[in-house]
Order: sequence, then structure tokens, then C-alpha cells
Amino acid sequence: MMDVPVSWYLILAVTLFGIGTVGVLTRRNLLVVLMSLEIMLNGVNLAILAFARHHGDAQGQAAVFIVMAVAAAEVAVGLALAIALFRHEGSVDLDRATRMKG
Amino acid sequence: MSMPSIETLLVVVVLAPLVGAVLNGLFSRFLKHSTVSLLGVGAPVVAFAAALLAVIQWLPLRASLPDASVTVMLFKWIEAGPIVIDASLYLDPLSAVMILVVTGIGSLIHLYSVGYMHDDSSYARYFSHLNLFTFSMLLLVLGRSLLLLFVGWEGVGLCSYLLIGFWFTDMDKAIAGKKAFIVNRIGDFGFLLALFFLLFHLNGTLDVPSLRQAVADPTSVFNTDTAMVTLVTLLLFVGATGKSAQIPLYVWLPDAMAGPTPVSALIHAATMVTAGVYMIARLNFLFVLAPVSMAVIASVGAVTAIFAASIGLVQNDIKKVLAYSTVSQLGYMILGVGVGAFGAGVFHLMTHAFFKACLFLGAGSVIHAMAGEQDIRKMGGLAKKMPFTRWTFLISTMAIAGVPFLSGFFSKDEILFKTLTYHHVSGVVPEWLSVVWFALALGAALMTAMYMFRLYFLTFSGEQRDHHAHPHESPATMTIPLVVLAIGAALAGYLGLPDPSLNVWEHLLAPVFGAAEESILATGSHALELGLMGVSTVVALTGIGLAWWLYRGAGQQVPARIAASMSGLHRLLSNKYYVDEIYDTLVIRPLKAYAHFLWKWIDVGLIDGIMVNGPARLLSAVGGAGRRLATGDVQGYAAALVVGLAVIVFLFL
Amino acid sequence: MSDLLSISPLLVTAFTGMLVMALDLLAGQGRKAFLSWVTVAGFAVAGILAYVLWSGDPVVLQRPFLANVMLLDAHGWFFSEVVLLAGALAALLAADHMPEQGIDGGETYALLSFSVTGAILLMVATDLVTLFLGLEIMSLALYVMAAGKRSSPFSAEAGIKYFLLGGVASAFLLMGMAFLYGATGKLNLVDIARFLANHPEGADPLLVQGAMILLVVAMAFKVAAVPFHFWTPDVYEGAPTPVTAFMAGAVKAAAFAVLARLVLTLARAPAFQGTAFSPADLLLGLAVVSMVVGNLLGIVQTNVKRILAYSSIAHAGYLLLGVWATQASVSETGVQTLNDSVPFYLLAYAVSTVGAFGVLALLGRSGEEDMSLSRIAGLGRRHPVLGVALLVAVLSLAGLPPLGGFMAKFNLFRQVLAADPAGNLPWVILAVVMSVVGLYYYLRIVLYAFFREPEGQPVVAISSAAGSVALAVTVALALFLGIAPAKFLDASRMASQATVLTGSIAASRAGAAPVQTATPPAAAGIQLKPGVQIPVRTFNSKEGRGNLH
Repeated sequence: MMDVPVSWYLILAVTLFGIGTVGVLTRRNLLVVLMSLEIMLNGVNLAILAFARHHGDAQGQAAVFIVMAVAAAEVAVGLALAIALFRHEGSVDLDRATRMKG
Repeated sequence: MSMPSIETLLVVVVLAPLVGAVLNGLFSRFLKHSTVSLLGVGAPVVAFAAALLAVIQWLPLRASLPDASVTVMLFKWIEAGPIVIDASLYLDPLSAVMILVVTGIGSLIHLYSVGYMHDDSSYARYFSHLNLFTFSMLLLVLGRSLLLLFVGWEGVGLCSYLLIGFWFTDMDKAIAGKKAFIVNRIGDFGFLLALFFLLFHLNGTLDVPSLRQAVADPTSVFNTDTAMVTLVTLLLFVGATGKSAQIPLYVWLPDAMAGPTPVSALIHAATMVTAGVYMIARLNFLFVLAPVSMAVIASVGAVTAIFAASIGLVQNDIKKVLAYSTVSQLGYMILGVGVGAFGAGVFHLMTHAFFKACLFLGAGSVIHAMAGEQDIRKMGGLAKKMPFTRWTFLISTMAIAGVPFLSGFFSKDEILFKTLTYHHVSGVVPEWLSVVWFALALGAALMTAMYMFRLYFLTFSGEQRDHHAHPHESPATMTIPLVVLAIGAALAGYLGLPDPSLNVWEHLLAPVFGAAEESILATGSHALELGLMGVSTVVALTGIGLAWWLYRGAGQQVPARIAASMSGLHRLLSNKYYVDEIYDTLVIRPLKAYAHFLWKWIDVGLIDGIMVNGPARLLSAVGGAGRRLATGDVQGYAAALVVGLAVIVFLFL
Repeated sequence: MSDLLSISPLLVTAFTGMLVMALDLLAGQGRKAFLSWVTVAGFAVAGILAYVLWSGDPVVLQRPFLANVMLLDAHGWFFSEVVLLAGALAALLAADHMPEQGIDGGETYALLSFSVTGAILLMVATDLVTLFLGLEIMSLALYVMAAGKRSSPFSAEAGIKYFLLGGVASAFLLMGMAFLYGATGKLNLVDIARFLANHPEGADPLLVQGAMILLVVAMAFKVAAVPFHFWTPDVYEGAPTPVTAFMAGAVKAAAFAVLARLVLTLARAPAFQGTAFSPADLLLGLAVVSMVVGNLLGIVQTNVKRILAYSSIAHAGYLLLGVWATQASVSETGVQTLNDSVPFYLLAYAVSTVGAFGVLALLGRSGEEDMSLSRIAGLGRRHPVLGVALLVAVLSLAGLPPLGGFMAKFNLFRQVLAADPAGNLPWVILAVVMSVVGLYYYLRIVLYAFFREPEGQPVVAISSAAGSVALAVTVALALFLGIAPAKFLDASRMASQATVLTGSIAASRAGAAPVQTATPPAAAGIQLKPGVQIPVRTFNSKEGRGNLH
């Protein structure tokens, strides 16, 4: 089987991270922004996994599970906040969350 | 039960009044009148008991202690590079004497206040301030570092201000308080400058024992840079002229009589005003290195003594007479420390604390009986109606006048003797100066006897001249302190008998002053001292006789005739040499005009208009522009995050 | 068992959170204020435990699965005390604020306990994953607390803003950790530092530098440094005021503790030598823009909470200057000139800022959200006690003697200057000038509170015994830190000495010992300076692996 060099994984991981970042910056819907945030984290996860394989180290793989668990918790909080926003504004559009500024 | 250690007791001495002040100050609303009294009087009494126990333990130990001293380290206070200042208390012979005087006489005056202030609506505030004063004064005398001393110094100034203006709804009294505070600030400024010079130009310590050690080293900067030492000691003396009411900064003390009379007794006679004398005595080793400063100090003291005494001759307000008398007596003490007689100066401080406190409290008793009347021309004949007040007042008057075998006689003579025989080793000070100082001091002694007995005769003898009031003896809380103080006024002098073998005082204070006093060449003999005692006895009796003749005897028409024939002199004296007016014209008005100019043109125009509002407007404009970046849009903020990261990556990688 | 004892403060705060949740179910509606005292009691116990543990030797946790993930030493305990103090004060402030504002108190106290737990975990972590876990526990609880006032759109908005930006920052942090892991193959900070020192060629410098930037950026977000500060004013304004107090006091301390430890531990790696990138310059840049922007934008604010938020940004700037000065001396000479100013500064800042927000928390009846300057007009006359507490807190923030803020600032500037008198002078001058600029908005608060008459309805204070206790503590501490700071400065020095995780970098560099070689655990030690060994107790030492050598 062909061995894929670690740099390929890394490029894919950084690309995912970038896609996520752009999503966070440009999408107005809070739910989509949450998804983009998840993509960023998944990019990171991929990078850690790739490095773990590269170093032949199991610790990195375990770390990824922890990151995934934390990400799940984060989503739970994010969705709760989306509901809070919806209650007040009748929409989950981030344009509405601009009461405070300056 | 074993006795608490000296260290613990010293902490109690300082903290007890603070606790009293805090409790009465913050919780008075919840306290009964009697609880306020208990706390207010209890605090200094506890402090006195602790001080007494501490001194009793310390006395037998002191020979084995370095400099006969005990240090209590409280906490490390300031640490800034090489400058380390501890908050620690220092018990040595000088501070031992001082804490006993402060807490002992302080306790009596607190007790007296219970009767005197009984009906005042701000009873708790009064005791809170008085306790706070006691705390500050104890900090002043026990502070090992000059900076801690300065904290106490400022603390007593603040309390003095608060208590002079105690009845602040009366505008005149509030103004008197301000005057005292402002005049004192001028002195404090000198003191503070001196501390800076000590810290940054001399050897970088404010710790008194360390300073003393540094001075003892003949190669140290103190012994080479006489100019700087002279400057520092003169600045310190500026501080002393403010607190101890010397020319030119004495003007606040007569006005300070606006406060309640016990305050005048405690703060403006017995304790706070002696802080300057104490400070010079504390730093005796420094002052003897600067003969020029010493000469200035002695001159100011001698001139103040006779100057204030002459004003006292014609005053008619009972408290004003005592106030000028205090200024005059402080002049004596300053003269004493100025001629290197530190022990004698502090001795007079102690005896004066007794008889002047007694006189003020007696005056308070009189004012109380006369329903607030303070003009001695309207009094008279009180001797029969107020026996306790009369006898205690008489004993103290005789003590201050220098009647033989009472305390003032011994302490005053000690100063006169040391003045006449003063000769600094350096030879910088001409010897005829000592003779001039002696003459001035002797003249002041004559006047003291005169104005004090004038006061006594007009108040107590003869017939009552004004029948509005119905005088009566004061309650026991007021007479007990009078009796105790009068006993002190009579007997305190026996601590310092003019015979080397009997002089307990000098032996006790030798560890503090011995080295410094050795550098003064005392040329006088024992015989001369006894001779001088004869001279001053004659002077005192002459003064008393004159007063008797003028105000009791055949010469009762004479004062009016003198006033008429030398109306210029009389007016000069009754208007206190017009010093307040001169200050007003020469200092206050120009300053006000200058301040007005600064305010209108420099401050409002230049600084506010251009220099402050200019940058402020500029900064506001910049800030306003920056404010627009924070749009409130969370994705904009996220973009800033990403852009910030990108900029960093671009800059660095 | 004894290693559980050594993390007992953590366990106590976590247990407090669970206890509060359970009690919350039992307590009737509107009778939740006692939970505040339960929380305070829990934090007090944790604080006492931390104090006791502090006086012992540093401990490395050795339990299976938890080996090496935490180092319990003066660094961690000092900042834990700060966080516990701020947390307890926030709980006291919340006791009457929350019911008045119609917020269900129970969950707040539980979340507060968990947030404190996370913060402590974050500060004692030496393992990157543990560190991340601590950060997330602290932050997730905070996001919810910020949005805790359900009736208010401002509160929801604050929660969302903090959450989204915090999520992005977490992703950055995680990416940085991934890079570090990739470069070294280690997840433990001490191992990483040692690897970087011992194998200068082994680690890809680009990865290491990128990791450093990402870590610093993520932590700069948490400490509210410019340009990662935008969330701060909005979140501070919208969150319930006691929560804001906690954020400003505790989160800043925790984040700075981690930032200092990460930067000081990693910055001397060879990967940063002789390259364009210097962590020191990065810190200095952040410090300068934070001081300038924080103070300038503070001037134009009209809302007291926003003013204090910009003040928080400005203080992050001064603190970064302190970390920078320490760090710069590490990289140039290889030996750290001990700079103990940062922990003390954080303590003084936490006390002052909690005091200031605390006064605001006790102002305003239900539904009154507006905290503009004109609302506090006349506060000094109407509520003199609150007025004085505000005065002390604000003047301490401004850095005026004799308050703690002054002592902290004076000490920090002095030590920055001492590190390099000539080179650092311009930056200290800038910091002083910016402090003077900052004086403007601090004094504006005082001006309004004491010298302005209210227009219209003046603000009403809610009566709160718990809140009064909290304010009394802040005032007393602010004064105490200013007048007799010596003990606290000593503690701060101990914390600073433990901040850098040097492992035994210098020693093993000389011996070039491979990392995995098992050194007998008995000889394990943490080296502070070359040649000085501080004994480290290890537990379950028969595990025999992964000690800090």
C-alpha cells in the first residue's frame, strides 16, 4: 500500500481549517457558523491524527477523542445560545446580534 | 499569670487608642452614651497601663540592651530596590518617657472630657478623634523609622485640624482649623524635603538607630558634608517650627483655642506641639553636627519665648493668655535643644505637660462655671466658689512662673544654665550669643511670672465683676484630673535635681543624649548653677510681686495709665505685633493675586484651554475614530482576529 | 490517595458545583441566595487547601492515566487563590443581584464553580490536552453565564459573541497545539521544551514558530489584548454584572498565568534563535497596541461597564509589558532575570476590578440595564458607602497611591525598567503616559459619582448584605495591598519562580541524555536555575515513567 506523506494530510487539514474560518467569517446564519466552527476543529483533529501516525504515538489519537468530546459540548452550548437568540430576535441571523457596539 | 512581653505591650499601647477610635467612629450609632465614654476613656487608660507595664519591665533590662532599646517589628512596609522601610516600634529612654506622658496625661484629659463634653451632640465623634489623636501621637513617638514618625506627625496634624474645627458650624472655628492645617503643611513640607535629602543625598536610610550608627562613623558623609547636614537639619527645624509653633509659624496656635478646651490641653499644650522638640531631641546626633543650625534653633527659640510672653501680658481671653504662654514655653524647649541641652529640653517638655495641661483644664473648668465666658476682665472672686480649681490652678501657675521647688523651677533653670554655658566644640558660634539668649530667656521668665499671676489674680481673687453667671465647682470627673496634674506639676521636677548624683532624669536619658551632649563644652560649674537658681528665683518673685502690685495692690490704676501713656506700645502688644496682618499683606494677598492670575490666565486659558483640552479633544477624536471599528458585528470581530493573526504571520515569518 | 489530596482544591470546587446543582433542585423558586454562601464556603475550603498545599513541595501527579498532566506548585496555587477570591466575591455579589434582575441563581453558582474548576485545571496543567480541557471547562461555563439573563437580548448577544469568538480562539489554540505536537511528537509541555532544547534540528522551525504565534494569539484573545479585544466591551456590557466581575478578575488572571507559562517555557527554544520571529517582539507589539488602544477608546465611552472593559484591555497591555520584559531577558541571556511583578499585578487588578464591577452589580432595580455615566451621578451622596467602594476601586485601577493598583503598577514598571534600563525606558515612558491618559476616564467615573447631580430618576441601590461583605473585602484588600504589600510580594515572587517550566533543560543539554531513559524517580526534580534542584514529590512512583527529570 502506498504511504501517504504527512505533508499531504497537513495540507488537507489546513485547507479544512481555512474553509471553516471563511465560513465563520462570511455566513450570517448562526447555525451555519456553528458548522463552520466544527469544520475548523475537524481540520485540527486531522492534523493531530496525521502527526500521531507520523510519530507513531498513541497519545495524539487519544487527544483527538477529547477534542471531539469538547467540540460536542461546545455545540450543545452553541445551539442553546442559538435558541436564546431566536427567542429575542425571531431569527438566528447574526445581523440581529449587533445591539452593543463602540 | 505571667506578664505579657514588652513587645506585645507596645503593640497594645499603639493599638488600643486605634481600636477606640474605630469603634466610636464607625459604630457610634449603635452605642449608648455610657459605652462611648467607656470606650473613649478606656482606650488611653489601657494604653497607659500597657505602657507602664512595658516600661517597668524594660527599666531593669535596659543596661543589657543595645542603646537601651527594644524594637518591635510589625511588618515590612516599603521595599523599593535599595530602600527598605519597616513598620516597627522603638522603645528607648526617650520614647519611654514620651509614651508615659502621652498616655498618662492623655488618660486624665480623656476622663476630664467626659464631664466637659457631656452634653455635646457629637460626643462619640469627639472621643473618636481624640483617640485617633492619641494613636497618631504614639505612632509619632514610637516609630523607629522617620517615615513612620512622619505618618504620626501628619496624623496628629489631621486630628488637630479635626478637633480645632470640632464645632465646624461656627465659621470662625472652621477657619481656625484650616489655618492650623495650612500653616502646619508649610512646616511639613520642610520636614518632607529633609526626609528626601536624607534618603537620597545622605545615606539612604530613615531608620533612626541606623542613622545614628552612620553618623558615629567619622568617615561617613555626615561628617564630611557639613553643608548638606546643615541644610537637612534646618529643613527639619522648619517642620519643628510648624508643629511646635515657633516664629514664624506660631500664628496658628492662638487661633487653635477655638477647639474644645480639653483638646487645647492635650494637643495644643501637652503633646502634639511638643512633637518638634521631640523630633529634634530624637535626632540629636544629627543636629550637633550642624552648629549653625543649632544657633538658628536657639535664636528662634529665645526670641519666640520673649516675643510670645510679651503678647501674653495684655491678652484678656483666658485661653489666649495660656496659648501665648504655650508658645513662649515651647520657645524655651526649643532654646534648650538648640543649645544642646536635649535632656533639659525634654525635661521641660515633661514638666510643662503637667502644669500646662492642668492650667488649661483649670481654665476649662472656669469657662464651664462661667457658662462659656472667657474674658478674664469679667471674672474675679472665683477662689471661694471653686476651691479645687483654684488651688490646682495656683500650684500650676507657681510652677510655670518658676517659684522655687516646684517643677517648672528646676526644668527652666536647667535650660537657663545650659544656655549661659553653651559652647559648641566647633567654635563656629560666637560665645556672646549665649549671653544674648540667656538675657532673652531671663526676660521671658520675668514676663511669664507677670502674665500668669495677672491671669490668676484677675480670675480668682477679688470680687466677681460680672454677675451674669453663677459659678460652681465642676464635677468629679473634671476635678480629679486637675488634682492629679497639680501633684505632677508640683513634684515632677524632682526627677531632675541640679545635682549630678541626684539627677535621675539625666541618667535615664544618657543612652540617647549622652554622646551628643559630650560634644557641647559645658564650662559652667555647679556653683554657677546654684547661683543662677538664686537669680531666677529673684526674677520670678519680682514678676509675681509686680503682678500683685498692679492687679491686687496699690497699683491697680497703673496698667490703665501705662496703656494711655504708651498707647502705641499697648496697641502693638494687644494686636499681637500685627503679625497676622503682616502675613495677610505680605504673603496671603500676593499669593491670592498670584493664584487668581494662575487660575484665570494660566490654568483656564493656557493649560485647560490649550494644553489639556487640546490633547483631550485630539485623543477623543482618535478614540471616536477607533470606536467606529467596533461595529458590534461579531463576524467583524472574528475577522479582526484572523486579520490580526495574518498580520503577525506576515510580519514575523 | 495522597495525589488526590494534592489536587483537592480542584475536587472541592467541582464537588461544590455538583452540590449546588443538587441543592438547586431542592430550593424553592426565589430562595436561591443561600446557594451563594454554599459556593463561597466551597471556594473558601478550596482556598485553604490550596494555601496548605502551597506550603508543601511542588507535586507532579503520577496516577495512572493522569501521569504528568499537572504540576501543582506555587505558580498554580497563587493564581488559584486569585481565581477563588474573584469567584467567591462574584458569588457574593450575585446573591442579591440575580434575584433582582430575574435571573435564576442556582445555575449561575454551579456554572461559576465549574468555571473556577476549569480555571484551576488550566493553571496547573502541564499537558497540552489537559490545558485545553481546563480552558474549555472554564470558557463553556462562562459562555452560558454571560447569556444567563434570559429576559435580556443584550445578555444573549453577549453570550453569542463571547462563544463564537472564543470558539475561533480555541480552534487557533488547538491548531497551535497540533503544530507543536507535530514538531516534537510530545503533548507534555516539559517534554516539548526539553525536546526543543535537545534536538534543535529535530523540530521544524516553521511549525514551532507557527505554533507559538497561534498559542499567543489564542491567549491574547483570552486576556483581551488588542487586536483580539473586540469582544471585551460588548460581553462585559451585556453579561450579568457579577459574571462580568468574575470574567475581568479571574479569567484574566488564569489566562495570564497560562500565557506567561507557555511563552516563558517555550521561548528559549533554538527554533526562535536567529530567525525573524521573536516571541518577545510579538508580546511587546501586543502590549503597546493594547495600552494605547485600551486607554484611547476608554476615553470616548459613556457606559461605565464599557469604560471598565477598556480599562481591562489597557491593563492587559501593562501586564503584557511585564511578561515581555521577563521573556526578553530569557531569550537574550539564557537566564531569566526574575521579574515577580505580574502575579502581584493580577491580584491587585482582580481585587480592584471586582470591586468596581461589584458596586455596579449592587446598583439598579430589576430590568434596569443601562449603566451609563449619567446614571451613577450623585451616587456618592445618595449611597456614600457604595460611592467610597467605587472610589477606592477606580483609583486603584488608575494606579493612585496608597492603593494596591499603585503598588502593582509601580512595581511592574520598576522591574521592567530594571531589566534593561536604557532599552526599556521608551516603553515604560509610553506606559506611564498611557496611564495618565487612562486617568481621564477613571476620574470621569469619580466626577460623575461625586460631583454631578442626577438628571431625572437617580439610580437606586439594592440592599445586599452579601454584596456589602464582598465590597468590604475588596476595599480592605485594595488598601492592604497598597500599604503593606510585602507578604503578597513574597508570594508573588514564589509564583514567578515557578512559572518557567525549565525541566532540566540546561542539565540534560549538557549531558545530552535521551528523553526516554528512565532516571530513577527518587532523583526527580524540577530545576529552576541551573544547579539548583527543588525536590519534587512523586506518587505511585513504581509506575516509574514519565517523571519530570
